[in-house]
Amino acid sequence: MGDCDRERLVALVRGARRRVLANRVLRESVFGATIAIWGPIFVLLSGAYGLAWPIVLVFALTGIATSALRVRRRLPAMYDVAQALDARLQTDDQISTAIHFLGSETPAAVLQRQCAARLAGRTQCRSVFPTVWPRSLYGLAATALLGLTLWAFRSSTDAPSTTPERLVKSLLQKWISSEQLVEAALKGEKQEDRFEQRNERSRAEGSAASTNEARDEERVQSMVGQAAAPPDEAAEDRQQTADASSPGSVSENRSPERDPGQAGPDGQQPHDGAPTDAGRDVRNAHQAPEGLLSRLRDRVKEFLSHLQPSRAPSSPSSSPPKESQAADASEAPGEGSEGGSEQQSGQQKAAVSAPAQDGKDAADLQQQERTGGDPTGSNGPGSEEGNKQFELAQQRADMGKLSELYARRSAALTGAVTLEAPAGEQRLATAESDPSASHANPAGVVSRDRIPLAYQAYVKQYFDALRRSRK
Amino acid sequence: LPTEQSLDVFSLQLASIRNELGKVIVGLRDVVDGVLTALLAGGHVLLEGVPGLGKTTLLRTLSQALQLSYSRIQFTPDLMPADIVGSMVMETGERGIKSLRFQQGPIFAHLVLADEINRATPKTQSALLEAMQERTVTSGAATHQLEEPFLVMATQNPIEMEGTYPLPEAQLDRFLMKILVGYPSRSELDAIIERTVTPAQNHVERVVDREQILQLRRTAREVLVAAHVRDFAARLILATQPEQPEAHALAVAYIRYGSSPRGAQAVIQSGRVRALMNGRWNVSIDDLKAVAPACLRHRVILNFDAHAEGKTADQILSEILASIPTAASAI
Repeated sequence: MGDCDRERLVALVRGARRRVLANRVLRESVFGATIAIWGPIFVLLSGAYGLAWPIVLVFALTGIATSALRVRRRLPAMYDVAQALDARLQTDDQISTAIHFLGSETPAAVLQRQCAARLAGRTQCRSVFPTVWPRSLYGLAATALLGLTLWAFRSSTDAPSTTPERLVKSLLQKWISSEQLVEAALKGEKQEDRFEQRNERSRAEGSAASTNEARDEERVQSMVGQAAAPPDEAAEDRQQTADASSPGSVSENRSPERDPGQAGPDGQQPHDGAPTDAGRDVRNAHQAPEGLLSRLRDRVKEFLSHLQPSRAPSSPSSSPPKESQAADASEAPGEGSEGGSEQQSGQQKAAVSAPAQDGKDAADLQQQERTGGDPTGSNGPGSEEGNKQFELAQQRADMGKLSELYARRSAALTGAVTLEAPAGEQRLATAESDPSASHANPAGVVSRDRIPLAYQAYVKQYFDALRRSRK
Repeated sequence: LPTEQSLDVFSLQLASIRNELGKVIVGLRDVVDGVLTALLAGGHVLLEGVPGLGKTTLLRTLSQALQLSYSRIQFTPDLMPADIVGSMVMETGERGIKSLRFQQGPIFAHLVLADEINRATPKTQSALLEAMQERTVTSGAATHQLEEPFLVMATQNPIEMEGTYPLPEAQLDRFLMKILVGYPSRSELDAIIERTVTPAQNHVERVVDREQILQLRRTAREVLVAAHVRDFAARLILATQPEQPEAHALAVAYIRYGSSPRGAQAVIQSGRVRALMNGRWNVSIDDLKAVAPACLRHRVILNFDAHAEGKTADQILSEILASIPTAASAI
C-alpha cells in the first residue's frame, strides 16, 4: 500500500515534470529562433563584405546555445514541480510534502502520503500543465516579419536577379565560389608565368611568335573582362554600342572579350573554365555584400543626379540626348553616374538584341589590331574621335571597365580613391558611383588591401597585359 | 501515535469546544480559533480591543469549557509581582513552630486570564516573563514548575493611554499571538442583544479535560512541515528585519526592529494547528500566511516614520507576505 502510494505520487510528479519541461523547451526554442532570425536581419541591414553566411551561422548557433543553456539552467526538480502542482491544484502543499517525506515511515508521514496519493489518483497532468504557446511567439513573428520586409525591400532594389531561387543559389555559390576564386587566382599566376616564358621564347623566335602573343593577350583580357563586367554589363555594353551606332567604338571592340560564353575570334572556347566561372562569381561576390543602406544611398544619389543634370557641367554625358550619351559612355565608360547607369541600361538591352554580332565585331577588332587600321576609317574613341590610336582606345576602354569595378567598390568608401595604374597617357574617370571620390594620382600605387584578394590576380594580369600591349 | 482516527478526534473535540463557546460568544470565529490555536500550540495569547467586545467573557467561557484550573488576575497599577507569582508566608505549625511556606499566586493555574495587562507597571508585567517562557516560577531559592497546559490569556485596551504602561518588547515576544478583537456585525449584534434580554442563561459544560488537551498538543506536533514551507517561514522572518539583505523595502522604511526567531517558531507551531483544524497532516504555505499576521504583528516594532504616515504592522506584513517568492511561482 505504501509503495503503491509512492509510485502513484512519483508517476504524477514525473508526468508533470515532463509537461513542464516540454513547455519550457518550446518557450526557449522560440527564444532561440528569434535570436537566429536576427542573423539574416543583421546581414540584410549591414551587408558588409565580411558579413554573410558566417554571421547567420553565428546567430543561429547563439540561439541554439542560448536556448539549450536556459533550458538546462532552469531544469525543474521533482520537488519544485510538486510544489507547482500543489499551487495549481490548490491542494495545500500535500503533494510536495509527500514528495519531500517520500522516504519517511513515521505515522504522520504515512498518513499524509495516503492523503496525497488519493489526490494524485484524481489528477491529470495534461489538465494541470497544458501545452502553453509562449507569448514570445509574437516576438518571433514580428522579427520574422521584419526580416521578410527587409528581404523584400532588398529584393526590390536588387532586381532583376533576386528571385528567391537565385538569392539562395547566390548565397550557396558564395561559399563555393570563394574557393574557386582562390584557385582561379593561383591558376592565373601560373598562367602569367607561362605567358612570360612564352613571351621570352617568342622574342627569341622573332616575328613568328607574334601570333601566340596576341592569343595570350586575348585570353588574359577575356578573363579580365569577365571579372570586370558581368554578363549583364556586357549586354549593356553591346546595347550601348548598338544605340551609339559606332562600329569603330571601343565598346564594340570589347564585346568578344566580355562575353564569357562566346567563342573567341578563332572559334575556340575560352582557354580555361575557371576564369569564366570566377568572373561570374566575382560579380556575385561583388553584389552580395552591398548592404541595404549602401544600396539605398546609391539609389538616392542616382535619383539626385537625374534631378540635377547640371551638377557635373563638365561631364559630357549630362546634357546630350540619350544616343550621344551612349556614345560618350563608350568613349569614357566610367564618367559620371548618370552616364554609367544609362550605359548599364543600354547594355542590358543589347544583351538581348545583339549577342550574335559580338563575334563579328570581335573578329573585326582583332583584325583591326593586327593590321593597325580602322575598319571603318571614320570613328575614334571618345574625345580622341578622328584619332586612329586604337591601341590607346583599347587601353582606355579596358581601364574604364576596371574603373567600373573600382567605382562600385568605392561606393562603400569615403574620401579619395586611388588606383594602381602605370604612368603614361592613361586617364581614369570613374565618377560613376561617388562624386566625392577621385582618382587623384594615376601614377600612384594603390594599397593592396584596397583590392580584394580574389581580384588581385586579375588586376595584376590586366596591367601586365596593358604593359605588354604598349610595348 | 497519530492514526487515521486522530484527525477525526481532533476535529470532533475542537468542534465541541467551539460549540460550548458559541453558547456564550456570538461571532468572533477568528478570535476563538486564534485562542484555540494558542492553546494547542503551547503559546499564550494577547487579545486587544476596545472595552465591551467580549474579550474577558471569551476567555472565561473557554476556561469553563475546558476541564482545567483557571485563575484571573486583574492588573492594576498597584499590583505587585508577588501578587502574581506568590510569596513566602509565615505559617505556624501544629506544635506552634513557625515556618516559611511558599504561597502560590494566581499564576499557578492552567488558564490564567491577565485582564487589562497594560494597566500594571512594567515591573509587575515582568513577573510573567519567566512563567510564560520557562513555565517556572522562582521565589526565593526555590523554583516551582507550572503544570501543563499553561496558557496566559491577556487583554489590553489600545485606546486608553492614561494610566497604562505599554508592554515591553520582551513581554510581547512571549505571546504566541496577538489577536485583534473587532466590532461585531449587525446580525451578531442582534444575537448578542437577544441573549442579553433572554432570561435563560446558557450553561457551559466542560467538554475536554486536561489529558485530551495534551493529546491534542502532541498530535499537533506530529504535523509535517516540508522544507519549502520552512524556507518560506525563514524568508518571512528575514524580510521583516530591516538590517538583513533579504529585507523587504517596506521593512527597511518603516520597521525599527523585526521579528525574532521566536516569531518563526510561532508561525510554524500555529500553522501546524491550523493544518490539523483543516484536516491535514502537513503545513502549507497558506497556513503560514493565515497565521503570520497574528503571530508577527506584535513582534514587529515600527519606527517613527510608520507612525507618522499611519502605517500599521498588518499593512506592512501583508505586503511582505505577498512578495515572498516560492518555487511554484517560478514554474
